[in-house]
Amino acid sequence: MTNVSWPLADFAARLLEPPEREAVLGDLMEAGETGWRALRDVFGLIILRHALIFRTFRPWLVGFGLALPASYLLTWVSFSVSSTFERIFGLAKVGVHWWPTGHEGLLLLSCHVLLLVVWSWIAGFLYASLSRRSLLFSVALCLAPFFFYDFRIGPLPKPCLLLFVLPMLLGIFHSLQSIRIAPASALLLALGMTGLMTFCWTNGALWILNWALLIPTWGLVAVSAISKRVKRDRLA
Amino acid sequence: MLGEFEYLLITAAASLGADAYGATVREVIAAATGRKCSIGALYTTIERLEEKGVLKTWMSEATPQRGGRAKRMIQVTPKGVLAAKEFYEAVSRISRGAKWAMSEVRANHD
Repeated sequence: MTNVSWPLADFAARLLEPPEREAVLGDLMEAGETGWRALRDVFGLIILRHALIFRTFRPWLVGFGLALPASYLLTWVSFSVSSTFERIFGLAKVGVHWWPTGHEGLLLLSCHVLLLVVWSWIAGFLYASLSRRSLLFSVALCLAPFFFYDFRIGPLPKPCLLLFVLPMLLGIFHSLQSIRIAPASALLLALGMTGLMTFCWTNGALWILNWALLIPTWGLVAVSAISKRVKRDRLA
Repeated sequence: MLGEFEYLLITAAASLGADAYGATVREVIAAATGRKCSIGALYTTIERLEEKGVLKTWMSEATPQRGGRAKRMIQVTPKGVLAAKEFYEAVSRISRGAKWAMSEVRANHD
C-alpha cells in the first residue's frame, strides 16, 4: 500500500507560511520522522499558531465588537430590502411585515440596496484588514445571527437574510488581495454614505440603529490613513 | 525573565553556533531533556523570541538531505545572551541550598 502520510503532511503544511513550511518539513525529514509523526507535528503547529492568535485582544474586538453587531444590523437591512422588493413588485404574500422600514418606493429601495452593498463590502474589508488571521472566526460570527437568532420574517424565505454575505465576501477578498484604499477615497466614500443615509433617514427609509453602520464606514477612513502612515514610515 | 523552554532553546542555539537551525536545536534539546521536542513548541517559541529581539533567524539554502528544503538558521543576539545569563544566574542563586543541587556539588568534589 502506497504510503500517503508524507504527501498528507506536505498538503497539511500548506496552511503554514511558505518559509515556515519549508523549514518545518525539512526539519522533520532530516530527523527521519515517519510521515504520520510528521503529519501530527504539522497539525500541532497549525493548531498552536491559531490558538495563539486569540491570546491578543484584536480577534475578540473585531469579532464581537465589529463582526457580530454589524452582521446583526446587516441581516435586518437584508430583510428590509427583501420585504420592500416583494411589496413594490407585487410579490408580497399576506402577513409579510414591513418593519423596520419598507415604506419606500423604488428610488429609496435602490438607495437602500446601495447602502446594503457598500456597508457589507466595508465590513468585510475591515474584518480582513484588522484581523486577517482570525478571519474565519469573524466570518463565523457574521453568520451566527442567521443561525441562532429568531428573526420573525413571516413567509419570506430565510436566505433573504443573507443578502449582505456576497458583498461582504467581496470586501474580504479585496482586502486579502492587498488592495489598499487611499485615505482621500475612503473619506469620499464615508461622506457619500453619510449623505445617502441622511437622505434615506429624512424620507423615513432608515432604521435608527442603522446609523451604527457609520462606525465601520468612518473606521475605514481611519484604517486607510494609518496604513498610509505606516507605509510612509517604513519607506523613510 | 525567560521561560524554561525559551532558555533551553537559546542555550542550544548558542552552543551550536553557526550550525544552529530548527533540526539541530531540536536534537540538542531532546538530548538534554530526554524528551522529544515538539516542532510546534519549537517554532512558536522561535517566533516569540525573535519578536523580543533575543534571536535572529533567516532562511538558508536548501540541501538534498532535507528533500531540497531550506533551513531556518538561528542566531542568538547579544540581548539573548544577556537574557540567558540572567536566567542561569537566577536558577543558580535559587538552587543554592537545594538538596538536589547540594548532592550534585558533593559528588563533584568527591
